[in-house]
Amino acid sequence: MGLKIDKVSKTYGDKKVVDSISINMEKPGVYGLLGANGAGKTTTMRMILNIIQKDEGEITWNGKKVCKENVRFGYLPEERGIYGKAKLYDQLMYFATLKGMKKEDAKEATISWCKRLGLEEYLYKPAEQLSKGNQQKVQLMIAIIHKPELLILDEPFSGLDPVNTKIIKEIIMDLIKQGTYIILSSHQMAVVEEYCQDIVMLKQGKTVLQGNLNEIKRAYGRNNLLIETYENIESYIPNNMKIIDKKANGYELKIENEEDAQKLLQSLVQNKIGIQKFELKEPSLQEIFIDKVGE
Amino acid sequence: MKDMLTVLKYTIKENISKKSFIITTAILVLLIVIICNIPNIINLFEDDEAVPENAKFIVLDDEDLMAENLNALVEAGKLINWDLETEKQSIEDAIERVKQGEVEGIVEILKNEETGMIKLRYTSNGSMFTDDNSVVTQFISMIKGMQINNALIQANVSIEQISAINSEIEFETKHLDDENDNFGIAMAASFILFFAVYFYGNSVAVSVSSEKTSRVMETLVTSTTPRNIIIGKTIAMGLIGLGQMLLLILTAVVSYKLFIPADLDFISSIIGSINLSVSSVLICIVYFVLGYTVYAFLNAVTGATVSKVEDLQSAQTPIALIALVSFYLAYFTSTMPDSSASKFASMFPFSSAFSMPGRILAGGATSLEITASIAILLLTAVLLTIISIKAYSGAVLHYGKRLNIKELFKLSKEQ
Repeated sequence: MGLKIDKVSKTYGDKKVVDSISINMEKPGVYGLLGANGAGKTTTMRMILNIIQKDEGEITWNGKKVCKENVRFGYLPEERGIYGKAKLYDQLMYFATLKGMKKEDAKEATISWCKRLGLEEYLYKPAEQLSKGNQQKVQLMIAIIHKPELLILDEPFSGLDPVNTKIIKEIIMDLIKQGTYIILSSHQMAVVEEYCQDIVMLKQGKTVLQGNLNEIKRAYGRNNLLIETYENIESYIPNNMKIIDKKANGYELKIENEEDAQKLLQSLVQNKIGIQKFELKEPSLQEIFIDKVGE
Repeated sequence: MKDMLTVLKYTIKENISKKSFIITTAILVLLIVIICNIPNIINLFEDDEAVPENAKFIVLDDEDLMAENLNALVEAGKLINWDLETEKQSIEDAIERVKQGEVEGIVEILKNEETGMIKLRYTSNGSMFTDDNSVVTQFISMIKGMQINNALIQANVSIEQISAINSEIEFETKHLDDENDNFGIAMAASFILFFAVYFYGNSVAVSVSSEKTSRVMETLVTSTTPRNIIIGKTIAMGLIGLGQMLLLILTAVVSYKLFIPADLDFISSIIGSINLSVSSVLICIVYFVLGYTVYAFLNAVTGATVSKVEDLQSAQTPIALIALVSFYLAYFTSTMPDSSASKFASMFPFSSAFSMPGRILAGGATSLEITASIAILLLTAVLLTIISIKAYSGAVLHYGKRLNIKELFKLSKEQ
């Protein structure tokens, strides 16, 4: 059940932009689609929505083709676009009706979403009068106005200020609670870590890493060592440890095994070095990303 | 189908509420009303030229040159509702009365000393720009008529014969060129059809490319199918075009009835020679719809191949060339409706919409020709619609370099 993408590929000219990607989403939640620019994320999303034809593979929703008749889906494209000259109310109603809503329901949803997002005063004004952040909110409204079961968000937070980011984060959280299947792509790894149980990482169309985010991190091992101290401890650090970050209040080190860390802790204690914090950490998604995708 | 209607309704609403559309329509309506009023406007300035009715004139015949004929003149004046005052008075008094507007003018009957003949002097309120010719001509003809009658009576011609001579001779004119005048209508029809088909087709391209530029397209194609979008949009633009044209034609008809004087021979002869029947009007609408379909779908695909509105014009060049060549073919062959070039123009699907309606209105097409021409055009329209939908669906999400025909064909094949 849910969304199943099975060995899907797409070739443009002689370039395979998506190479045998598989995603299996059996329960609601957020699936992270990661990758550098040009990795094939947007193409994958468009293939899921059936607006680009796949060359190979299978994409199904509850065993059926993904189309308007079988699943209510919403899409927030990376490139924002709304009708500049049209009134906000008119275009929200237009898209809501196209997505199959009845006129009365569409009207109610339009007004209540505008209220929630603080756009009530702009309802009968041309959309081009809205700020960029507000236009982005309108675009999200268009994507979710018909309560989609499957929602695809391409970079939902790019260009948003912290206030609007918070508002949109709350909306996404609500949608998760309501049981929406969400596929999210983002360059902001912190965002992905916050939402996604599962991720797939793409590099030039190929899957380089896939699975449950916690398991991926665990598999990477706890090879980051964080030491908070106000003293210079560089002379105690053995050669097989690498300083990856040096801050005013401490160090972040890359270690090869946990035993080395214990030895370092012992020598620091013996030499009466004041330590505020000593923590063994899993790598952040950011590091994993750079490790897997970066050259 | 429901989605198509939604796209259609939205497109109509969006486009007819545009300021540019409203202003253009208003200007065109105004222009038509003004054009239809040109005869009236000309009359407004030429009012003085017309023979005034119910006018009063003073006739001064101080030397009694008219003698007993003066009363006959008064009677003749009555026939055209002129009140002629013949009482003796000084010219100064008479002029004063003209100045006060009590009388239209003064006619002095004088004697040319050299020839001994009668001479008229007309005094009125006008300036050097006032044209008194018609008044003066009227007096001359009345007086001359009386002189002739007197001469005839003196020559013992009977009253019956005199009245026979005086009776008006009816006449009518017939121009041998009249049959060829119809090509004017054919030319006008081909021009109007070309303008409508090309102009409204072009607005489809602009609308599609602006949706691509503003990136609304991505949201749109996930809300409904490209097929619904292109068909809904094209029909909507066609309906707007048809509506605007009908409004303009209605304005023209109403203005013609209201403002154009019925006796204006030039216009009524043109209108009279148009083969205007319900069926010919319907056939013209059919040609507009089909011709529009052919060009609008081509334009929609062109609009979808560009990423920026700025690129649209160069992308449209091939269509513009086809349209222009077809139009000129139709336009110039309309002067020789029986030539084979004209027959070709009314069959060729890209020019038949510009050529055939004119031929039909001018009454120069057989029903077999009309049927064949419509069939060819209909087939082309259907074929182009099917191809266009595929091409549009393929091109609609392409961004970057403008698509050439080869790439477009490849993308359509994937659909």
